[in-house]
Amino acid sequence: MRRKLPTIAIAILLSYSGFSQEEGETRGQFSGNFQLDGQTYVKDSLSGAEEAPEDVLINAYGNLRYNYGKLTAGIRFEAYLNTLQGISKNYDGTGIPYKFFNYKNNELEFTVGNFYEQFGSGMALRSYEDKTLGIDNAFEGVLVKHNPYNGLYFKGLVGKQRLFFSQGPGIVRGVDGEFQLNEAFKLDSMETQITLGGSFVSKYQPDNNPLLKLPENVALFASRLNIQNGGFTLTSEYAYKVNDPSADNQNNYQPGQAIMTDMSYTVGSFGLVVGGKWLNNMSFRSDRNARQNDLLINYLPAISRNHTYSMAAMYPYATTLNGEAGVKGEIFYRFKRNTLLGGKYGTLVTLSYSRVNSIDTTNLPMFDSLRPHWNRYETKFLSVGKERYYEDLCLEVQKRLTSKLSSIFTAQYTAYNKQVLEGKDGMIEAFIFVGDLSYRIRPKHTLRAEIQFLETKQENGSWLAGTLEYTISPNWFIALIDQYNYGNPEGDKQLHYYMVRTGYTRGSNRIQIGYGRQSMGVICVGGVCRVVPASTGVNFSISSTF
Amino acid sequence: MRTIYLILTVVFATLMLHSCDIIEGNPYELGDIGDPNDTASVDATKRVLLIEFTGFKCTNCPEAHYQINLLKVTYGNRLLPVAIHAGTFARPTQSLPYDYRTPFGTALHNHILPNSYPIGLVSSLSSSNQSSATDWAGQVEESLKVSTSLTVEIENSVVNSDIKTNIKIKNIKPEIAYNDLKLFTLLLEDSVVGAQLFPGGTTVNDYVHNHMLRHGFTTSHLGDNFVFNNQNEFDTVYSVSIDEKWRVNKLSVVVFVTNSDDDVLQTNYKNIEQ
Repeated sequence: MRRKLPTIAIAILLSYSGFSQEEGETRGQFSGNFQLDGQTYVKDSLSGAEEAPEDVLINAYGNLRYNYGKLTAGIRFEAYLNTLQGISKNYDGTGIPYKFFNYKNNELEFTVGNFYEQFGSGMALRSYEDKTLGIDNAFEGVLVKHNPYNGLYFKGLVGKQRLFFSQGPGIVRGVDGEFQLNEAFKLDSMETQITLGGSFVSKYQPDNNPLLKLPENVALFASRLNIQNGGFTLTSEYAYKVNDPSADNQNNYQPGQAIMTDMSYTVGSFGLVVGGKWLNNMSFRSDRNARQNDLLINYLPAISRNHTYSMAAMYPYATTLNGEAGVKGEIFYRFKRNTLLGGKYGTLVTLSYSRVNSIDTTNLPMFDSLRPHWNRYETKFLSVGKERYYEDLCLEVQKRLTSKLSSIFTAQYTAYNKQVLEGKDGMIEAFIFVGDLSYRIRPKHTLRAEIQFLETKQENGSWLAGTLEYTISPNWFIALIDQYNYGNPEGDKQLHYYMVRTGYTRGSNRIQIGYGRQSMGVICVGGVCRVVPASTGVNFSISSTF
Repeated sequence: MRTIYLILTVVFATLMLHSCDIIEGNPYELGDIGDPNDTASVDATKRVLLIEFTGFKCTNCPEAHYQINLLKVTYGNRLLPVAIHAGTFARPTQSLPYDYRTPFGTALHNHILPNSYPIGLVSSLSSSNQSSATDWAGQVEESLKVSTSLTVEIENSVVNSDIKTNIKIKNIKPEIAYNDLKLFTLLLEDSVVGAQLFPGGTTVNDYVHNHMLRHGFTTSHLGDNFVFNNQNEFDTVYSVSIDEKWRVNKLSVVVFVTNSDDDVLQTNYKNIEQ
């Protein structure tokens, strides 16, 4: 059955397209994309890399979309033969897990099949895919969007979430309303723009636990506010979840709460961003027994800065779903040209800070000698605990030195509580320095050199990393990378993690191939992370859009 | 038309607002499944095997141990837990030099490749059936409903410094045919006092570890193949020298049988000292 429906969908799409050609007129449009990532794996006892019995592992997918007037339909074929290391092996195999049909007119839009959707910032509901993290929690069901009056928008959905090549056991129902005051009251010319919103999401999963009375319907409510005036923006969302005992919270029955507020202000060369987040017991999944990144209904972004350099991103922060309190701030200023600090070409200076602590909790006494109290602990809204989970202070200076030479220099301090976040190895404190120079040799030819230094006394010790990259725009690039873990306390693990990589881009097609050794680590996107195992071998990718 | 849409939206939203169950007070329910202390070894009373991959450095594992204790209260000896200490969280360190790993446990761990810790397998040895501690109660309940025609008899003896275990597997319904049967025989120890890390990194040095795998009698971590004789029986004997760290009065033998789908069809146990 898994294959039958998509086959019928393809047949309908192709026959419709064929009909169009016979008529000799353009009646619709196909679009899509293709991506293939592969890697060979050889055993490397020094780095701990494991070989793959298959020798080569490949993840690939292709999207095909057809649009005809108010109608859109699409499918995605995926192949994991077998799944790349670090992504769940439950993906092994092939299939068409994504197929949909969408119709939209002025007032109503509906989608049947698979779809991605987000309510507000995602604290109530967000389904999305990220192949890098191996996440895809698309809904399979029905989505309706309705715009009854100017400025008033409703969404409603019901569906099950994707779990590899099947669906999770829970049914998710959700409604979201958004009221754009300026549009509703024809105040478009007013400088201040105000939007209010509210969401309600409920999940159903049968209670099959003979030891506990579990709530079969679990609801989450959220409200939000957005105010914009010129360079000023304020966004805030609050969410409340009723009792939701689960694997994440060890069957904790107390309600969950979260609030997240961001404020930004930019004027001329100056910018300021401040934000805060507090949450308690806010994991919300369509299977109470799911773990890792499976079947998440809502999305709680990390408050820390996303770093792009490999050493700066060595210890990335993932949101602690069971409770955290965090603040962030970022200030930037662009010194103008022909000033003391701006020099001939201007200078951009950015200073950012973020810190995440535990929330303040008091453990409740055991219910009896075998069973813990069902609420586990008590806490007060917005209370801050003493335990530091993460801290990050970063100064970045971007400066063009000459007409051909530009630079980025970064100094960073990171504290990462690995004991709490990964369950081992205590607190890690690291100082990171990055220098990045780009030199335009001649038009279209650029040489980029990057040096990174990470100093720490904990875990694997200090690192020195260098990258040399030559780009011939817009087609070619070649890069040599070496990360040297010279400070590893175990002498035989003071390794060079080298990599050579080259790629060719032409039009909408791109091919890339590399060879080398990759260290074990963690990658995160927006506060959601996965562990990347050590690997050694050839990696390659092909991508295309049409 | 707009008004109709709006009314429908409000009706739908109102219905949704009812989709919320709030549990007041004590949510614990202890089930009743008959005599939980039934340990008869010669009938085909279904028993359920729960393999838990754990480690003394795994801070979330004590929660899983709670779950197992709860399940033992309800299901008694119809539930046989096996705690396998293996992987990252079981490796000793300089400050915590405890090593509860076994070659059998490590081999099975590397075969299953746990997605996270703690993780369990209920009546299965298939990697795809890994489940979280909060899922075990439901799985145990379901597994107990699956009948079996296999019985497992175990007779243990201690001769000098060796443990000898005689095992008899019997199919009491010969009309049910089994193929690709595999036998697993394990030695467990209860009440092993040692270190255990708790959330936040707190170390409890006198934590009591139960159902700890101490030895795998079976030749391979993938089990020993066997076939029934004409009487629909299979007999075998295993032995092992007693390690000086083991306390004989806390040891027990757990035996289980799997099929080609890695389903655990039946399991049983017997203490070394009765």
